[in-house]
Amino acid sequence: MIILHADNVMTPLIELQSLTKHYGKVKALRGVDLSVNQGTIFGFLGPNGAGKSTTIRILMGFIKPTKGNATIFGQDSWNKSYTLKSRIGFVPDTIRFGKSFTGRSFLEYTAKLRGIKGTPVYQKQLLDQLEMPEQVLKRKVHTYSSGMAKKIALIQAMQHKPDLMIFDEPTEALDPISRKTLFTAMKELQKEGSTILMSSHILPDIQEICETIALIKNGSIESEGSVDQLRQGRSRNMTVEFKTLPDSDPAIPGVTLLSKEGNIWSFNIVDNLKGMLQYLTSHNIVDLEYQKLSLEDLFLAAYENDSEDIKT
Amino acid sequence: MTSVFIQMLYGFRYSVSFVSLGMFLVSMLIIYIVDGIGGLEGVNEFMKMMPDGIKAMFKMDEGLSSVTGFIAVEYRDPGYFMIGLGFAIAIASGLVAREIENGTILMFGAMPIKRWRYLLSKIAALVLGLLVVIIAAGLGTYIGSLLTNTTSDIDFTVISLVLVNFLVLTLAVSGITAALSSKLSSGGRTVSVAAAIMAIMYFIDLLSSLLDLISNIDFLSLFHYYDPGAIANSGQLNLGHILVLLGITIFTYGLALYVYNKRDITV
Repeated sequence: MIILHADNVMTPLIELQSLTKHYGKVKALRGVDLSVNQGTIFGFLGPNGAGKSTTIRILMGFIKPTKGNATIFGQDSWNKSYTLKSRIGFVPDTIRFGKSFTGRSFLEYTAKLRGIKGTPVYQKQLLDQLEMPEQVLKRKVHTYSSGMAKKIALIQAMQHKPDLMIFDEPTEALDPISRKTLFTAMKELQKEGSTILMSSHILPDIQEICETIALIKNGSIESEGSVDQLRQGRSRNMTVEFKTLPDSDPAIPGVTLLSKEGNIWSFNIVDNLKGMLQYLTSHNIVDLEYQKLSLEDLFLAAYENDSEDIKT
Repeated sequence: MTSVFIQMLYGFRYSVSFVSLGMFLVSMLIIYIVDGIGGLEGVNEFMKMMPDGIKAMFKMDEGLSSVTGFIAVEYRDPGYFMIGLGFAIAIASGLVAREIENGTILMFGAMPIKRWRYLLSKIAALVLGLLVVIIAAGLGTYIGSLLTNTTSDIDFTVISLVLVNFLVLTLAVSGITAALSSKLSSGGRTVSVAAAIMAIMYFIDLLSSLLDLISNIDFLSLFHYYDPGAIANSGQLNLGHILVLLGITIFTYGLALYVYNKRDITV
């Protein structure tokens, strides 16, 4: 497991230590170690069944871990669940409200359950930003599209400016404009000191907004860090078109010559771009193409052997 | 607490209204039956013609001596059970299991309210709903008697005691269902199991007075502790019966709170 911290100076707000959850013979979590620093936007990635939702539900006090600890603000997420929830805004992956609510009555009800008298401070601004006018709020929530339902769920989770927000698939079903607006609102809250933990299958979203990312695989953390940190140690390919061919093959640590097709050579580079560039400057080249590793590439690389893992 | 209580009441307002109307109409219908068969004389003639099985169903073994007695034992009519106990099972099954099944628990379970307080608020609303339904049944009897000019033939103190006994029966049924609802994660399964338990108990109670083989296990049935005929004959509640039903209610609701407090919520 690779553990890389984006910023070691900050205080961990969420800490998971050897977090384990078994459902009978099914091992949903196998010793998850993770820390989320205060004031960060943290992305939690993994395929279906990897343990994302189980981890989130342990944090929310819905599930008791079999072994290990999960703490938020230094307090146990199961035993102090009631106290912690007053400081947390939560959006589950499955949005269900009950048939009796309108959008307006749902927001009022959740605010009352949080002990907020009157309209929460941030509600109006969020309603405006996410384009939820009063005539929409008057409608029953079960008539909402999935995107509108998601917006109402997000507003209820953010309207009281909580210290911590836990969002399970927050951008799913949102249109691109609402997605942008949500990110702006999340960043505003982050500036005010809030911390956000979000899981998503939409990798560009995670890459765009999250400073630190954890990849979970088969119930344990595969890697953790910023996208740049996750790129370290990963191989990337470079294709170079030479004007005049080099006299000999390069002998650079971390660089492997993959193929030669005339004056077009392909290389594989691991953590030594500098060495490769020095080599290229001493040769006459026409063009080059260097693969930039996206989060999607990292994700696919992390999970490409999943089927083999399952078999073993 | 109050918000959850009010929201729960608001959520089942139509169910309570329709079930109350049903209970009200059944009660009125019984008064019209009494009136139609010719009052006390007709009732006694009617009783003589009844087979033992029907008498056992209504617990009429001690006989009838008044219109009040007839109306009282009619409160054991399967129609009442289906409406009243059906309502108790349907609403109690929704306390936890249906919320898990629907996924709404993830939204409301994330609020800063202790699990047991959340459930207790919903239970309080359910108890109030059951009370409304039982009062509607009593009102049906009273208004029916006004419309048929039989008010003077009926002892409403006895009818009130019968309704108290019926209320604690429905509370016990709702308590058992609530405990199941807290453990199970499917509303449908909760209803099925609760209904099966009630059906078994009903037949134990019914058959125990007909078959010697099971005559000594009737105490296992909740319905054993609901005897309107005995209340009509004695003019008193059987406190032992009430205490048993209340004990079951308190135990099962306590169990529901305990189980819900400890369980994993996996949607």
